[in-house]
Amino acid sequence: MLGKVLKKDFNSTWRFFLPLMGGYIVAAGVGKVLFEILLSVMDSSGHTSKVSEAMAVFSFLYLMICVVYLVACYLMTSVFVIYDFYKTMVSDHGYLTHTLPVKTSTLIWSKVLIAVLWQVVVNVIISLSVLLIFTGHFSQLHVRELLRLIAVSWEDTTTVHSIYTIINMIVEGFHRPLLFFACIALGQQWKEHRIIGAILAYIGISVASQILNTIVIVIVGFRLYDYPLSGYMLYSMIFNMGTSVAFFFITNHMLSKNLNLE
Amino acid sequence: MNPILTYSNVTKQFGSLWALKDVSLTIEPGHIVGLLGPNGSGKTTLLKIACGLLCPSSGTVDVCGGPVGPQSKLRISYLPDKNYLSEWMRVSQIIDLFHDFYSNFDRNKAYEMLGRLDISPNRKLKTLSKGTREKVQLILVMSRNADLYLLDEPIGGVDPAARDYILRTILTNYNEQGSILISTHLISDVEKVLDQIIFLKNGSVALQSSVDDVRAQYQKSVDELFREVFQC
Repeated sequence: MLGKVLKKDFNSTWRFFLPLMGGYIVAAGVGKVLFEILLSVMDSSGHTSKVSEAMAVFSFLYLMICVVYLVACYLMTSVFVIYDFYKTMVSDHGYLTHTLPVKTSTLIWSKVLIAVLWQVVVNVIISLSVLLIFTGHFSQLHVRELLRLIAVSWEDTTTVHSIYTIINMIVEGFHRPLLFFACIALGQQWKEHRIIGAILAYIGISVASQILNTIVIVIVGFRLYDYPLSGYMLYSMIFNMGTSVAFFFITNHMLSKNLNLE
Repeated sequence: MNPILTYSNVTKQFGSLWALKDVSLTIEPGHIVGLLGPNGSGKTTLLKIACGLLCPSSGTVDVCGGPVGPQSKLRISYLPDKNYLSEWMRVSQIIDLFHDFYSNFDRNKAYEMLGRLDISPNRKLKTLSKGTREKVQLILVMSRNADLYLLDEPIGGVDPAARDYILRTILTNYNEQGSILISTHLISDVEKVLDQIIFLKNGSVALQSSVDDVRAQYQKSVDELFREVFQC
């Protein structure tokens, strides 16, 4: 049944992400051309015309807009994941979702997996677009040396540091949507003003997480600056995994035992 | 014969408001039951609890002998009193969706009913009028070979000609081994199709009886009795 729910959720989300990502790919392609113009103008310092200077300014501004678009893509991904969950699980469309012969946990799994899928797609496309823009200039950027210096500064090897970073990103990919889903599920307990309820739940969970985090650090005697970054990353990963499981159970409990569709 | 739907001491409270108070009733298979009551009497709440869209504050609901869950949702075909379909979807996509999830959904029956109403399966829901969208929802619900049809105000807010079409569609398409529970306050329109009635007043069952018994005992039509019981 999970496959059928995934198909339904994919069909209702791709219409949003396809134009968002398509627009970004086009913007990155244009950005590559303008980036090359900008570099050529910078290389020929002292021998530039007014037109090429104006072009360089335009290219610079355009690349800044691309960066804003990039940040907006990340934000819009989260916003749309939240919006889709709210619309299909606790508002009018929930009448269809919750009358399907499917377990509530399956519905939540599908939402989480679709959210992770789009986060991966957005991250891959954005990474590829950055690679595209810098293609031909990697030797000037000294990427390998930069990664090594970051890892060494945290007393790690590049490989260990990269592995922890990737695992943390994956865990975070599950953690973030599950946090939002739990807040919405808690918010729908309010008879009215359910969005405000979800926001209050978010504030409450964030404060509780911080307190729990502090307590755990105090109890285990974790001294952040005595450990390399990977030590902190490992702790963060375990903490996020634990809270993700808790968020899943909160969402499942609220939507299966305390569902209150208006 | 085992009841198809049983409410046992069901109570539902929204804050300080009691939507249902200690409701106990059973629906047997093979009946068309009218769930009748004025606005705010708890009709929608009663149906939503059976569908799993609301959880009761106390009491239990059994559907075909089991609790409300994925199995009961397969056996219940529910028509809510609001539009619950995504507007971007085409009619054919919604039919595919129902066919995917409900093993008792008859795709051919759905297309046949759409054809009779001249509704193109390629139309997107957002291009359809409110009335046509309601008809599409009714077609989806009645194309299922369900054990229990829960219809919430199916004739509310439509013209008399559309009411006749809706009632005709319900009567000619439901699974006769199953039961229908129709919630409405438009008694005179549905009275002729009902076998049984349940009067709901302020969240409590005021009366559950067969239509024949009502006529024999009170010497009145259901509509007349309703006006008497719910007199303002």
